[in-house]
Amino acid sequence: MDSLMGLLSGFSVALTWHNLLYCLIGVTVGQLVGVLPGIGPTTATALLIPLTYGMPPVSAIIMLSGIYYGGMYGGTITSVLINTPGEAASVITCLDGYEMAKQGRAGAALGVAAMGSFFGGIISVIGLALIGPPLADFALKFGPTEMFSLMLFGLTMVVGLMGASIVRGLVAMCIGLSLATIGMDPISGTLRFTFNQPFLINGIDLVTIAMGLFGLSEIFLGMENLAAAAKPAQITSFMPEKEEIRPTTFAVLRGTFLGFFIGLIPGTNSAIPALLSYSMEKKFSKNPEKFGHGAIEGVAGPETANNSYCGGAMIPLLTLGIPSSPTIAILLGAFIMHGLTPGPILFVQNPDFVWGVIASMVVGNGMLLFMNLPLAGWWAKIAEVPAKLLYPIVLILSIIGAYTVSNDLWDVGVMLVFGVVGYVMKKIDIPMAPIVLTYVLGAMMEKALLQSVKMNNGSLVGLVESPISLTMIVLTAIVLTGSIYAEIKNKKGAIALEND
Amino acid sequence: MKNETVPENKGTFYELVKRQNAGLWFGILFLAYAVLYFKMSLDIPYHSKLGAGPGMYPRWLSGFSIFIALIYIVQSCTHQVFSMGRSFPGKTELFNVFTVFLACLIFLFLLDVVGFNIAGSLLLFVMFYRQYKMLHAILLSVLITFVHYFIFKVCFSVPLPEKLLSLFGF
Amino acid sequence: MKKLPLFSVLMSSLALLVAGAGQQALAQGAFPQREVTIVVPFNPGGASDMTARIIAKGMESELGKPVVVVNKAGGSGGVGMSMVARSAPDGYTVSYIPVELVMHKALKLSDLGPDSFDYIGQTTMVPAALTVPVDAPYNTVADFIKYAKANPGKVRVGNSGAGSIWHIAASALEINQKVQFNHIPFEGAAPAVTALMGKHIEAVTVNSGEVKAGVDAGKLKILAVMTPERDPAFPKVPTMIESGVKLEFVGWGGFAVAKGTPKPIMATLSAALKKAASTDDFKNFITSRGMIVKYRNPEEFKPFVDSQYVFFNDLLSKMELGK
Repeated sequence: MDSLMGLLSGFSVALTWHNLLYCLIGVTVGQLVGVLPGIGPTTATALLIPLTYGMPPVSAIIMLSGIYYGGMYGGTITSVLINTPGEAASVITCLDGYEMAKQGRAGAALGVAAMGSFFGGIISVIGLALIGPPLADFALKFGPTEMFSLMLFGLTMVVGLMGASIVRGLVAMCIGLSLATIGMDPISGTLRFTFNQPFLINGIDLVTIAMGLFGLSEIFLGMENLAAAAKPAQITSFMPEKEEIRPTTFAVLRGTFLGFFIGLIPGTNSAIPALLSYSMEKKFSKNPEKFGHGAIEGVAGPETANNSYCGGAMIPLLTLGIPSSPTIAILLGAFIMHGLTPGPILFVQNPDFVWGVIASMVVGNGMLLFMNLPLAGWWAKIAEVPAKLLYPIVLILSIIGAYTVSNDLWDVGVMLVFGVVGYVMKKIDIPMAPIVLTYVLGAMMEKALLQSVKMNNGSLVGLVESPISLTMIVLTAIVLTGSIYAEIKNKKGAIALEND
Repeated sequence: MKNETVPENKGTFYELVKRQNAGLWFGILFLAYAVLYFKMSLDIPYHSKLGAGPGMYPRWLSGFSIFIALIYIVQSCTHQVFSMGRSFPGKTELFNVFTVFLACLIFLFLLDVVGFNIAGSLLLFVMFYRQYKMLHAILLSVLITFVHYFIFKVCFSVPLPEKLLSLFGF
Repeated sequence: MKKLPLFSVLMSSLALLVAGAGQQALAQGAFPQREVTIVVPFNPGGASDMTARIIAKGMESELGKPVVVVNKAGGSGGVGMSMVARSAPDGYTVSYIPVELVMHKALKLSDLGPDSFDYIGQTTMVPAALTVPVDAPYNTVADFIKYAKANPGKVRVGNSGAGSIWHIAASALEINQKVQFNHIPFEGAAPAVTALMGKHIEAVTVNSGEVKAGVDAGKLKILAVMTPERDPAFPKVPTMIESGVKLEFVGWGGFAVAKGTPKPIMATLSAALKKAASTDDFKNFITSRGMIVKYRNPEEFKPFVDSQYVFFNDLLSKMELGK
């Protein structure tokens, strides 16, 4: 009951006119940087922190966290309309969102993403308010060992993204995993595959790879013959069709809980709930063959999940002062700069502040919904911009986006290389999502495994000793056996018999 | 991996290229990549004091990649043949793509010499000039470049190079 | 991907071209004639970035020209620092210099060393603190060391990455007290602190600012700080020396320009830096982030960097790292 009272008093803070204004600025900037590839919420938050010096702390944090969750809404737009993901979480949205846009259903994709995001955002904030503190202690149970098992589970889910052929999916997977090993080895600091290039010491930036493989290759494809570039079909309403409402609702509900739960775990990122949600939806769907060809659940689930992830990720921050993702780490810096140390004491000493920020997240999500629903139709018009004008603009946007990664031409060059690779791969039907996702998971997985082994003095015993880890491994085994069994049953399992 | 995208003038040679199995060639390139990766992973210590060294994971991964590459090659020769001619578009289309790629490369070299505004306008112009009237193409490319410049440099303080402008005191 | 070596040659020759053809100084009249750039070799949002941004604000009002901060992350700071080291020695390109500079050669990250720069001054000191879970069976450093001696290789100490400054801090304690820890690297200090809170490890030796939230939350306790004097943020916590361990260990940050910058320009810059480092804004910020304001002028800073170079290289060679 205390927390409910707290939340109510929080609204009295969040609903003052200047805090409403700061919230609006925050979510608008967040939405904007989400739309622009390359500049993600992390950079935007960092750049805006100095501007908050003079503000009262609660307004400052309201604005900065607005950028954080606002960015998640914006990222959807470029993924759906021009197949250019600005961050890892949006890679999943590209899969079905862009297909929907090609079918003239960009409005529906954006509309359903906005509604799902709103629902996920609100529920996770309410979860944060009501059951946050006890859950935080659970989050701490996730050490490197548990992390490894979670990543392993995630990796089996990537199999679901492989499209028509398992072999081609595995090729993509190997590429992603091997790219992830470039740079400094996480445990010993040994340099691997760096070709004496200082730019490679910290690895290749994920955004660069994703923009090259998805966005740039799409531009190359479109430039083949601009005159013949497929005219998108007439845009229909931004509401899902009648028979889609039920599965979509369930996708949103599942995505909400998944995102919230993953958000609790420090060290994860928003790509993981999106990936898990997509695979889960495909499993639950009555017609899984629609996935990859414009299934609306494939947009609704992941989009909901990455927004409810944001609310979940605030729990370890507010209750324990643990930053669970890079953006949250920068938010933590802002807290400290304003003389506030996150943690249980903050709830006691500055309840107005904590509840004010939490309430503002409810308000901000509402604002985003009201901005996005009408805008969905408006944004969708971008898909109608003639290709000869749209592609060059997207190209220059992507170039700047890659440039901002380290303010150097290096990343632009890398993106160009991946653009060509992506173009060739599209021609011979090698799926690209597994490259990006195994890239994310691979690096974390190797690190977590070696950490776990080192913590157990060179033994793997930790993996089965920890109950959480054991559960994950059992789940992984079940999913794997299940998939193999299903494949064999469908007579598709034997690789040699594979045919399109 | 780009050698397939270069258009070829000689008719007979072009026909030959068209008949090639794109999947096979990609498989061979991927195999070469995996083998190179394997060779390089040999230079990284396999063991450490703990047992698992920094080279262990890459070496197993490269082995797996080589295995997958071989299966892929077999598969693309027997079951799912992607011939060059069917998978890749004709000469004109490839030439269009190549132009964009080349324009991007030139942009890379020009950016630090003449600055973003000029290099960006040039890049856009290359893409616009066959689609629009000359004057429109020039106006569009300059306008779009400056709008981007304004958004990123002024609003987000991204340090885009601006060599020529700075000489004039901007 | 086979194209990479060729590509990298291409890119590096491009970089050289730029460095060479770069800003021709329009050197007439007093420095500065145009905007000064501070290069931060890390991503935006971190402690180094924020330090540089506040210093930039302070220097701006002193120099009367804009001072802009540019982030050039990559290569563990090597990309940004190398860029400044190779830039024209005209004082218009300043680098934030983290303690990592003196470790680069030993870790084979780059060829940068103390002699790559002319130093404007030091601004900050980053104290390390030995921190354990609040219910750990030891309350002093002596008890902790006793426990570690009784359980060689069993005490897991988290750090912010292999070869990182806090890894070296733990190793310094290890070597000093002739005990054996099990070092667990994490990607940055925050994940290490998180793992400590979840009791996946036994201790961390990271910046005291990083553990403040955990201490306030009643989950962690600090046994000792490694600075020469007590940390003003934790006045009750003893130093290592007070606890009977003869060890000092701090990270630091400062500013520098390319080697060969003319004396008068150096004087202008260091005067501006001194002013910027003594503003209340800066002091408040540094203290709030768990760091300590420590100004050293150019004459003191250079010998300090040199001595740190010797100190760290000695430690690193004992640690069997640097591969």
